[in-house]
Amino acid sequence: MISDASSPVTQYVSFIIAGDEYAVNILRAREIVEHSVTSRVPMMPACIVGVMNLRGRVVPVIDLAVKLGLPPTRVSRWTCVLIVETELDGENTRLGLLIDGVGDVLTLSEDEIERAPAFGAQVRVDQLLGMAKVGQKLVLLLNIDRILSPAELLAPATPGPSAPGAPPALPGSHGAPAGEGDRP
Amino acid sequence: MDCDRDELLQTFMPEAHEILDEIERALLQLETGRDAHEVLQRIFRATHTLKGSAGSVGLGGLSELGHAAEDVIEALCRGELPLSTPVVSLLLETVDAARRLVAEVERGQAERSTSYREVVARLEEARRGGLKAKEDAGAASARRATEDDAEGATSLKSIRVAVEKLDRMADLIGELTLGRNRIARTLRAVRGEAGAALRDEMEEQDRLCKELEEAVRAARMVPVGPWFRYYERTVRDLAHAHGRQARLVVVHGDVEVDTAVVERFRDALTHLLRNAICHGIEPPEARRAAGKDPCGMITLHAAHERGGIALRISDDGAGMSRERIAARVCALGRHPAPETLPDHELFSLVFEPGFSTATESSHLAGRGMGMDVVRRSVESIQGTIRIESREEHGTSLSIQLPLTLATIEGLSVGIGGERYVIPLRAVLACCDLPRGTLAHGGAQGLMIRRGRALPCVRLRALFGLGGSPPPDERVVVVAHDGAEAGLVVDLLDGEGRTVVKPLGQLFRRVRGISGSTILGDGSVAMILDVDALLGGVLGDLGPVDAPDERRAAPSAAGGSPG
Repeated sequence: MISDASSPVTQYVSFIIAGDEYAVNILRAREIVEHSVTSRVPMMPACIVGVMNLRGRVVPVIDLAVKLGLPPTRVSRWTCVLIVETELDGENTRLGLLIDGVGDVLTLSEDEIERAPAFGAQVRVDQLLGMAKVGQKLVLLLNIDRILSPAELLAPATPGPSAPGAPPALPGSHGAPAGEGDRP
Repeated sequence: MDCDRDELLQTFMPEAHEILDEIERALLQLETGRDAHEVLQRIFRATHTLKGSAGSVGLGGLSELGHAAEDVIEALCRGELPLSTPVVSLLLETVDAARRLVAEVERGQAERSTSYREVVARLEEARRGGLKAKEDAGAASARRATEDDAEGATSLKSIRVAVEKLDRMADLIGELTLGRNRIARTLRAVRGEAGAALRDEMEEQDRLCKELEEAVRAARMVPVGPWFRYYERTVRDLAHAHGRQARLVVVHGDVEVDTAVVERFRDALTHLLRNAICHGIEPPEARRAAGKDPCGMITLHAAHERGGIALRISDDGAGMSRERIAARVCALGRHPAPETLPDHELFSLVFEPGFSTATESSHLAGRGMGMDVVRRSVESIQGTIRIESREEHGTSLSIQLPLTLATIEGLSVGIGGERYVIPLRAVLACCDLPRGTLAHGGAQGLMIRRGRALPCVRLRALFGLGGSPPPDERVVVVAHDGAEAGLVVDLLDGEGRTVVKPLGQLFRRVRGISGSTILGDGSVAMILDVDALLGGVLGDLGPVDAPDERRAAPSAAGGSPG
């Protein structure tokens, strides 16, 4: 399994989202669980599907497809949730990623990882660690600290598939400082 | 032999803590000037006991310290030494030195440090009447007052348990409940005698589980009395360091509160007390000139209220000046015409971030130094804070805190497939939404309840859940800011105590949601923060420049059936 002794190898776990294969560092992946009911968190961008109960712990579930500008993931029999660990504002946090299927564990040496091209991929270059050619496929290695940062997740995304006449975000959630003071 | 001594030490340690606490309290009481002789006698007796016990378990240092202190106290009793602030300060330092020695023994280091010798020397010097106020004494005591907060925890006959362990227990009980629910569901299908017997067993298990949950909850509760009394010393030391005189009066009525609340409110409370001393209480001369007692009084009052605890921190100091705060608000451009605001709204502006900078706040009559930090920490534990002040008469801060952060009593409601929990302390009543009200499907409107107009918010629309509401909707009437408001939901699910799960960093800024909980069927429900939710809605209806479409909503609902 060990390739060239010259460069260190890292393991990645790959998964499928909307037909494309992505991978994250295996050290960041905690487990893969069956998709279960998620509860929506109000006033969240469309990429945050909601929260799920992971053995008594409340874990946010992210639909990366939405973040990548694709149609939302359709939950099917094969839909899973990949639980990853990332640091949000200095706090170790577990997040779930909706995935269409599990790929493989990839062992890649540094020289097998190429810089991602500036365009052409669904993901912005700064959110990628690079990409690797595995067999005939290209696998994009995600920088999950970047792509799952609160700033990135909570960014006012492209107008989601909200129903016509859907209400505005919670009024007063931004600005309007005068209303904040007079609480009981 | 060592075994015997260990056992003796085991019984001596808690006793030592209690005696030292008692001495400290008495020393503080000494400064009020009442029954000085009787209090001195008490201090003498306690010191004597401590000295004797320390000697008998072979703690020479502590015994030596006690002996030196005893001499000074005896001289005070006989009137050979005048009772003065420096003497009391020195005796308080002696208490600190003794605590350090005790702490070392507890850590198994058997009186290693020798710093107490310096205190002994000064006590001996004081006995000879040669007490000189150490120049840095004030600074030292102020440092102690602000830094050593963590050591102020109580030393009752108890053990310390890391809060994480208690959290873990609460988590496990939550999981246990979920598991039990699953078993109960399966059991319902079991027929015959065996099924009935199992169900009976299950009922007994249920009872035990509930009791266990209650016991763990109770284990997290600590009385606020010792916590508050610790600040008597802080206030005294801080006041001296700032050239003020102040004492703290604690009224706590045996209120108990979750340790997590204490931990997370500790810094804010220190901050507020420091503010009261630095910006509230005037220097003694100014107080005398104003016809007040030169010694300022800060009251820390706790009571059970609305299922939580209500704290009031009030001082009889200078109060806040409307003009100066208004001027500052103008300078910051926070409000076009602050003079027109009622008191509570104007004063509440001091909670705005960056309201005052450290250098300016001391010139400004008010507080405001880091008040935004205080408000944030109060809100982070689902509390609220309100400020009231009268110039010349003092300032009072009312803080409402939850009893516990671990569980809440909540009313579970359903909207579409989603479940939400409304804290029961906010719920006043439930009723049906009259047909035809809010028929436009919008987020806000008015309904008639008991002959009065009740502003309503339809959560389905507010949360953007989509779909159309069922023909019969329910209204949960909640208290908000002294008035009532209705939350329109699809159905009511019943009430119960639920374990609060923090939502974590990602959802920290979601307004209107204070946390989440796991329901009996294992799904997650959001816990609503009614005040923040309605605060956001009402703020939008106020004179702030709000988008017009939303302003139009209430008028559209004017035609509700009479």
